Amino acid sequence: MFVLSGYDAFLGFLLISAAVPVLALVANKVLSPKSRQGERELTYESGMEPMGGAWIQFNIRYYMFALVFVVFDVETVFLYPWAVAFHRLGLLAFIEALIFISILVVALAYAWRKGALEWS
Amino acid sequence: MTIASTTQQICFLVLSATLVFGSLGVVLLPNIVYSAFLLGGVFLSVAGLYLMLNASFVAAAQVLVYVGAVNVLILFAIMLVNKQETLAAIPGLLLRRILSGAVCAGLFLLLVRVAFTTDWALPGPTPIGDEATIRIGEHLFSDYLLPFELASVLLLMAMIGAIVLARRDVFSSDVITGEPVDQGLIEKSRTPLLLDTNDQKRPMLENTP
Amino acid sequence: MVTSTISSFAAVATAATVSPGLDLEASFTDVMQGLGLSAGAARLLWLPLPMLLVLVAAVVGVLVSVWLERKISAAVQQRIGPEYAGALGVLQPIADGLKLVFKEDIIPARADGLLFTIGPVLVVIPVILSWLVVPFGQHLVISNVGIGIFLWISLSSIQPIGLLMSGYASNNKYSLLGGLRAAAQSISYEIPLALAVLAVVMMSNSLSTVDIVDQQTGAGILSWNIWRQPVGFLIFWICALAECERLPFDLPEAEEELVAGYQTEYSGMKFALFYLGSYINLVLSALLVSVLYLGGWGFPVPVEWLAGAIGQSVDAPVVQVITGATGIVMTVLKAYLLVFLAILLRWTTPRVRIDQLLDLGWKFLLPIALVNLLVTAALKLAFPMAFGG
Repeated sequence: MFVLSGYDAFLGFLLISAAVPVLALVANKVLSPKSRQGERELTYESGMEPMGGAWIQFNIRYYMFALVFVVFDVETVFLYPWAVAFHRLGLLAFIEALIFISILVVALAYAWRKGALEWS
Repeated sequence: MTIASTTQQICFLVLSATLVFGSLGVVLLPNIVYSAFLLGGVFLSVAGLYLMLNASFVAAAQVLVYVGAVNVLILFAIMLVNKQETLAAIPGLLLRRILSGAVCAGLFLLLVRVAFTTDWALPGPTPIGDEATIRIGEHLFSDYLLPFELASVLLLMAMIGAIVLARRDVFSSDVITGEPVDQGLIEKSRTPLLLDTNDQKRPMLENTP
Repeated sequence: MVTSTISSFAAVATAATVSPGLDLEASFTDVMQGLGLSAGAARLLWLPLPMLLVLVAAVVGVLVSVWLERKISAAVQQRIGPEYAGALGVLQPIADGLKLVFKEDIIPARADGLLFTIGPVLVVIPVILSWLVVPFGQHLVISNVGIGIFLWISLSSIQPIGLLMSGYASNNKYSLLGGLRAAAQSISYEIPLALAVLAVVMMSNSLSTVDIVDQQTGAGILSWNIWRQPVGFLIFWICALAECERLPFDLPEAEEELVAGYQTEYSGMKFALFYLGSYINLVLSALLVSVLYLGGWGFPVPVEWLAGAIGQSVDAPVVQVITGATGIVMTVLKAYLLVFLAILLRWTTPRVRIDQLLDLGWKFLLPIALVNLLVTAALKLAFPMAFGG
């Protein structure tokens, strides 16, 4: 099937690990009591009558962190092949990666300076 | 037909079906949050296809970057502008839909034609398996060095651009409308914008320390 | 542990055909082919066995950690803790689980039913799937895939989607804020975590977890990565705690502020799935710390020395079976030492604030992890022998 060995096990384990929550939910569905409707289906809001929904706007700050995260996530993906192949590459690769990382440190410094990493 | 090839075909069919119907759902569903979550499913099935092509590193990178980062970013962005408002009726909506449908159909036909007329080299290059990660590393640091370093510059530019756009504190007025930018709107939490009218005055603040 | 007993039974059963390094799969395939099956069919028969074994191990691991959590928490607070369900209350976690199975599953009227159900499922699946790469011995791993530890990192990046989904679908302000916090926290600590792992990967020249442990054998406790990567170890452990949402980083479910965060509206089995996921994740992280930094299945004293001392060859079947069994015990022991540490930390550290959490991740751990990686690379250039050649 796969030329890469071991991924048939991946497929099998994916099926098994997907079966766990599904079976658990089905068991719960069968075994649990069905109660009357009403109050208990209200959204919880510290015992008060819920005021409005929760599908509202939230803070922009989370968005800034996600932006910075995308950039650094891509950076780490580039660094994986570097780390794995480093023993074959030697000094030159070290300098090249140093340049790569320092450019991204500039990005981090910029984000820091501009307050993208500030919460308040 | 062996068990292995049957499994492979089933996997391929399931992944392709998820991909096609998921993408259609992303485009056609009216609920934008559903679209965003479906997009995650589409990314995952693309990763599955990479895995079937024996590109395990690319598959994992696809999950890490697209599902773990880009999709989370999209979800954050959607929840950021999660206004439940009725859009003003756009004039000529039907005509617009027909036109964009025609453009999509044209593109689709073009791709189908390319797929059928290209002389695909079968069975393709031999996969090198788990050595691939090392090979990618060797290439990145020898013959693809310039693109690699440029990628970091690109990432830097993307980050600067994103921060500038998201904060807009370099502009004193909105570029498009010319109105002064209300810094408070960008910097601070807003009041909720939806649902019951009696709810409008309650600010929904993430508790700042 | 159940795993260790079952595996050692299996090991004894196949001891007659043991090959170097105790390869149970090869032995199993040999036996099956002896019975007249093809190699493919033998593999197909073999495949589910380690998976089910690991699944059972994971569930038992969760039950043990829940019991430990209750008992140790009680001890810290000078209480007794659970004591009536079984001896020393060992059956208490099972009672907890059974109770949740019989609880009604409530979907709030204003919630989005579909996403509300998919959310917890999406949180649990990647966590269980990550056990694919946890090695308990040279060949005692479900699948020694080439991208090993990278698979775990990319799978764990799916989790925030599930958390956002359940936070959003609940249509509850606490849930939404909890889900957003959880996602923000998870992404903030993923980068330092990945960079700490990269430094280890660089020393072993491979992403495979088995290779990472192999590189730490030779001189027993002295060759473990923790001595060469002390900073990386600390970064990894802090990030792992943050990814598991353990105190001091349990902001997404900070009960004084957000009731229970994204779990607020959940009940019954869906709530149990969140709990299962978080405890499986804790045990998994502890196991991976032991694999990455504490020598995995390695014994503190090299097995070769011990075997030499009692005048046995390392390749002797008996020695191999004993080595395999002690390997499993060592892995689990190291992991539970870390679980114990995590539980103690829960009762000794105050919860950080959200701004402190993000500051720690972005302004402290990220630069430190980058420096750690570069220093490791430089040291590897300077002393190739000590850093994996």
